[in-house]
Order: sequence, then C-alpha cells, then structure tokens
Amino acid sequence: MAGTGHGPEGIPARGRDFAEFVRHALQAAADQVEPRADGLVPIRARILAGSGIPWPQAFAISLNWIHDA
Amino acid sequence: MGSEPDEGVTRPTNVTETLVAAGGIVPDAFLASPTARLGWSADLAVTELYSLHYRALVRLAALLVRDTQTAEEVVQDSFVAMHGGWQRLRDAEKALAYLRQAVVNRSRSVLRHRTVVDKNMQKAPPDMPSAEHGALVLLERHAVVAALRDLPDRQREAIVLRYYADLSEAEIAAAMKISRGAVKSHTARGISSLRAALEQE
Repeated sequence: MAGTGHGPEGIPARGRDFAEFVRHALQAAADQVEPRADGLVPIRARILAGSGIPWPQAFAISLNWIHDA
Repeated sequence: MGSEPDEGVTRPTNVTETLVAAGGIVPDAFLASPTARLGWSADLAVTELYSLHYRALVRLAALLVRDTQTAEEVVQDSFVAMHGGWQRLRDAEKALAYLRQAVVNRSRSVLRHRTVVDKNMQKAPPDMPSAEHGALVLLERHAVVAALRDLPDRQREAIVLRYYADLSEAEIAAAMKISRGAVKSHTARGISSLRAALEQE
C-alpha cells in the first residue's frame, strides 16, 4: 500500500491525510475493475423482454443494435 | 444531459428502428403515441447514462459487493429499473441519483443474501477458487478495501460514496435514504474504524 509514512505500515495517523489515503486506496482498487464492454446488451434485452418481446429475440435485437451503432 | 427530454420529437430510437427493421413488430400507432415518445426518452436516457456512468457505477458497486460480475448485475438491474421508472424521473440528474440509490440498495441486498448463503455453505469443503473469488482477492489486495469488508453496511456505503464516488453529503444522504446528520455520523465512524483496523495490521 502506498502511504504518506505517518503511522504503522505507512498509514497516515489522522485527519485529512488519512482521508486522502483512503480516497487514493479506493480509487486504485476501483481502477482495477473493468466492466465488460457489452453491458448495454443485457440491459436493452431485459427492457425489451419486459415489454413482451420473447427473450431470445430481445437479446438478438439488442446485440445487433449495439454492434450496428 | 441535464435537460428535460424533448417529448415533442417522434424520431424513433435506434432500438425502435431496429425493431422495425427486424420485422415491423412496432406498429405505427405505437410510435406516434405518447407512450412511445416516453419510451424514446427512456431509451435515450439509458443509452446516455450508460455511456457516461456505467463504468463508475460498476466500480462503485464492486467496492460494495467485492466482485465485478455481481457489480455489473447490480448496475444492469438498476438501469432496467430506471428505464421502468422514467415516467417519474424524466430528468438526467434525477435519473443518476436514482441509479446511485438503486445500486446502493441492490448491493446491500446482495450482501445480505450472500451472508445467508455463506452461513448455509459453512460446512462445504473448500473448492477451486471461482471467478468471483478471484475478483474478490484482486480487490482485497488493497488493505483499505479488505478493512471495508468488516465495516457495518451503512458505514461502508458512506465511505465508498464519500471517498470513491466523491459525492456531497446531500447526494450521499439521497443515495442511502438517510439524513445528512446520519451521513456525517456513518462517515466519521467508518473512517475511525478503518484507521483502527489498518493500524492493527
């Protein structure tokens, strides 16, 4: 862990430094999370399916729409 | 973004264009109806909010539920719910606030369900690590994220919304459906607990 060296294991002891330490740590952890590129497909498909379109057709339409966009 | 959708425009969405191209399953009467115009706005809102906020919302959810696949499901659920509630929202800012609230609620439900499942699985022998487990380990390499896991739900949510999502107290209060005073309290207690946990390591 990167820290500013004020406390044990480089963890800032208190106040704004510690808040900044937490902010950077959460940002670094979150940056490792990369969503799949096709997240809009299941969203679209579920919206279409919810309006009564059969699921396989809803999924195919959503897939084609994303790829054509 | 940020302005009311233009309900007077009847230009079909990409989705409805695709529906028509796929076999004319959307009748003309539907396209001309107020419902269709509302549908157009909802479709556009989903597309625009997805392109602007999907990644950040998944990352926010991942910090709460600790695995990427579940985080994506949580966020996708939230977008579908937002589309369904667009008649009430009709505004990108309200929709984003709604999405955050939905992500926090659904993440909390996931954790509650996971706790029940974990209790029932306690006697099962250890197995090969799942993809979910791998993602969890990846995240928990960060000591702060590992320490977050042990915080009460409300404190964890307040910390993530404040220090990752960088939301104001008012925005956090809306996302968590609590008062601003409670946000202050949960954030302060969360930070204090995090510090104590990290200093013990």
